[in-house]
Amino acid sequence: MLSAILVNGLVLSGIYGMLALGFALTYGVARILNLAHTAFYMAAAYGLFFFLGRMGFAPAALLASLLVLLIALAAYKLLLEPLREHEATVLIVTIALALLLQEAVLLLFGAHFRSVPALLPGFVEVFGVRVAQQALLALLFAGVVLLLAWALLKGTRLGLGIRAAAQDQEAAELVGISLSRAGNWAVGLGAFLAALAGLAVAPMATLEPHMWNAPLLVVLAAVVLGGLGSLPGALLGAVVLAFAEVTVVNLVPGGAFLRTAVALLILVLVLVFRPEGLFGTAFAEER
Amino acid sequence: MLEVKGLSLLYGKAQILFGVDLEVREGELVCLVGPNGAGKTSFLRAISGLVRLEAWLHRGTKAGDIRLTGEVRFLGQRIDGLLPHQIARLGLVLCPERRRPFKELTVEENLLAGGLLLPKGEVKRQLGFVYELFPRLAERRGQRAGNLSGGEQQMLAIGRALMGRPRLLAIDEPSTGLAPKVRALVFEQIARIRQEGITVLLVEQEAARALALADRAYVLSNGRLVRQGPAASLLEDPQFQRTYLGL
Ligand SMILES: Nc1ncnc2c1ncn2[C@@H]1O[C@H](COP(=O)(O)OP(=O)(O)O)[C@@H](O)[C@H]1O
Ligand SMILES: [Mg+2]
Repeated sequence: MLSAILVNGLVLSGIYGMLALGFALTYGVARILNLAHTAFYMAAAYGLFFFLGRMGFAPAALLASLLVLLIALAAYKLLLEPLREHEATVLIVTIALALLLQEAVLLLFGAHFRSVPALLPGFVEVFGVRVAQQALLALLFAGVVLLLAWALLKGTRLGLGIRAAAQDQEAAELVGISLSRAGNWAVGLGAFLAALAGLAVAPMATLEPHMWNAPLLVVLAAVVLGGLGSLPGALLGAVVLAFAEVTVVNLVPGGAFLRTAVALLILVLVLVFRPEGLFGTAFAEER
Repeated sequence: MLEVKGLSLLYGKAQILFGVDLEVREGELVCLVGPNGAGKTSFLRAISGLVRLEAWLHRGTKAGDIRLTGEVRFLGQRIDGLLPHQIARLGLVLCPERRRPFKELTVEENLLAGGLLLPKGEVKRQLGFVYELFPRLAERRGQRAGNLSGGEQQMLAIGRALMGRPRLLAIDEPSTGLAPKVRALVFEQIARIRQEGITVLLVEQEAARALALADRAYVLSNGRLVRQGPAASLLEDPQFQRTYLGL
């Protein structure tokens, strides 16, 4: 039981980690609380499903993620950036965008469950737990993606500029960082990470037009737990949410139905007892 | 080097600056003094592009109702329509009020962020220069900037601005909120920066100390320039002494 929690928790941490990091980047730099974030993840999964009928896995995955990138950047430049000061409007627009994507998926693919064949079918035994090889592949993929994202943020001038812009917009501009450019990068990277998460789950999950709802709640809970705007906080939050979910599913009878409730409970508890989250000093200080 | 002509600033209906004319020549240290709320910070925000940024970030809302008129030229080029990152690239860098370090970044990352203005190959040398000027920062290079003392944060803010190798460095109230000893150190360091050949526009509350360093000074009051001249003659002027030096 314990090893099942460990193994499945790690796999889920990878997926949630990619989602939460992307969400936190978008919020931290572009100041967009993007409720369509997991709809991007869904769009990538369906994109993969669609293109797979026509080509191999790699080009299909690439096309799907580019498609999501395009949707995200277009929505940002045309709708969200011009409206950014009206926070409530931004929220409404992002939720509308999510619903639009949901309806588009419903229209194009119907309400049936769809699935993407596993790249690596079959199971292996890890610490005495039977695990789908595909899940291990997803974990490996998430690990590589997160490491690359970290290397980009920590080890390059672009990453430094993005992190500086997330801390203090005015001070960042004063050292020559273009906020508008940093925002484009953050939105692009954020959406790309969401798309990669979608590609990683597609072969393990069933695709349906509401598949973005539960992960959205998880991502919100993760970033609020980690402290809105904190990138390490978002990753830590994702790991906590993943393990909480897996633990409940494994230990509580009927726990599979409680997945969403776990995220909701954590979200509410954090908001009540520690609204600034674990690392929540990130950008309280804004002129 | 910097020429400001008839600069006026309105936030909504509140006028903050009234036709300010000011000039800084290459190699000078010019001081801008005046009581709290006179508009000194607003002036620096206007010439550094922060006012334009503020208007752009808040466009379409009440907070974005900002009017900036007049002319600002830097090295002969009009800059009053530019954003801060464009102005910084031209060589006018502001070390802002309240220091504004990137708190979650380390000291060295803060400095490297300041060095984003430079071509990659020149960052290391500039970092060496800043560490030599502020050895304290070298000792703390791995620390989170938010954990530094006020004086260290001020050094970091100046060091970060210097990392972009500015032609003109504008500094807003570097000594405010620091202990007397640390203040003295900050003024020494500003004198050093000036010796390095960097032109400085300094805004200070502590007028006596600032004027002792300066070549020329301007006095701002209620958004208007009320006096200007060589720093030495202001220091000796009895009326100025009474009003601004509390003598
Ligand atoms: N964003 C703003 N909106 C409205 N009024 C402002 C804003 N920023 C500054 N002011 C006003 O401008 C005046 C000058 O402020 P400031 O430039 O900070 O003065 P100083 O730096 O000389 O103390 C003050 O009365 C202040 O309230
Ligand atoms: Mg001020």
